Amino acid sequence: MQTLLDNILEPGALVPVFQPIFKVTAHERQLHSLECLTRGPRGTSVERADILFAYVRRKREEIAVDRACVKAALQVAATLPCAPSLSVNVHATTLGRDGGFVSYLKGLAENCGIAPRRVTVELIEHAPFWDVAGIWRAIDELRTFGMRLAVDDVGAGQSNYNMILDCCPDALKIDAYVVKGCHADKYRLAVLESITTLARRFGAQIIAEGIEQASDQDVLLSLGINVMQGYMLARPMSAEILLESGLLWKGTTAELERAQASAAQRAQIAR
Amino acid sequence: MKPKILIVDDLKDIVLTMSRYFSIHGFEVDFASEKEEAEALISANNYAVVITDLQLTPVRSNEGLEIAQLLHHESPETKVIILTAYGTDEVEREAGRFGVSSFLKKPVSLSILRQAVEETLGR
Repeated sequence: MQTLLDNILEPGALVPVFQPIFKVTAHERQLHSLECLTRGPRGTSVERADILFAYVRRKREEIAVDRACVKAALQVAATLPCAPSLSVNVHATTLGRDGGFVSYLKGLAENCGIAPRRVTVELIEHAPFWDVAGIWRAIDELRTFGMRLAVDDVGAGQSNYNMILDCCPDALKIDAYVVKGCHADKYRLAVLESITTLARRFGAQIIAEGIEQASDQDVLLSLGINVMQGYMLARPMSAEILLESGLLWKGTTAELERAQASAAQRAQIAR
Repeated sequence: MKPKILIVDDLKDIVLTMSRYFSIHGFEVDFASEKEEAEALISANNYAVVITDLQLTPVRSNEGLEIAQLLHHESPETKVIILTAYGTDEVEREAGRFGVSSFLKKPVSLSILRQAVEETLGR
């Protein structure tokens, strides 16, 4: 009998989407990179990413699905012009337990014509314990191949200090929970200041997630955090909309806003 | 607002029939065929009622109780109805410990099941 997991792992079932990450100044936003995200098979209960990965983690099938997700994402990313930097999400359990994962990712990137140095692995974790020796081996291998490492969701869940200590990441992605509303919350501001200090000591770049208000963006800029991602800047989108936006050629957001509005209008008409 | 319910059964025909029936009768319905699928949906939604078969696989047993236990801890306001063809008194007692509202022996007609759901919701 075909299970839901079989459906998920069928070729072409996972749907890759891309969310732009920007380098922001007071005057403009320049494309920094694209985060490759995944949606579950259309028309199933796991179409939403949070439900898809909750299911995968409960089935303990992170390795198989992480492999399928990076394959789907890089195959589509290979069709994008201008060689943008890309980040892919990988469970720490996958990196720790699947000794062949990094070679698989490198081989996949090269087969797709994507230089491994364009790829950042965003480490996500939902389990409280992990295989540190396996992680270290994987990180060494990643760096040998020129790939970068980011810790995702910093400030939330299991992405805490021991993960940062064990990984010495190249970038910290601050969770939206910390960012949203920071303009009006002195405690969120204190956490942001603390993460900023931490990142500087580690020599890590900071990327702030969850930018939904200009006032939060201003606070981040005042702290020296200028690489940002969030619905206010750009929502996750298909490769087609991304291409139509011209963002990859021009690197700024004016055309992107037009393309997203036009896609929304088309969707409305289709309904 | 329509009450949101989750129907869990490994037999897809049963799930689809029940889903259509409850949709027609004014419920918003999600459905799942596996315990892990149900748990993932529960983690992302607030269900008024979860109707689950007791046994969802031939090899494992009583996954419906595991779902009830999860709800008991993480979403105690959600009502649970367990359906089974193989229930024992011991399992029924166990279900009681996890706050299961009804324990119905199969076969059960859709109208009786709907009545149990409506009663559970105090309607």
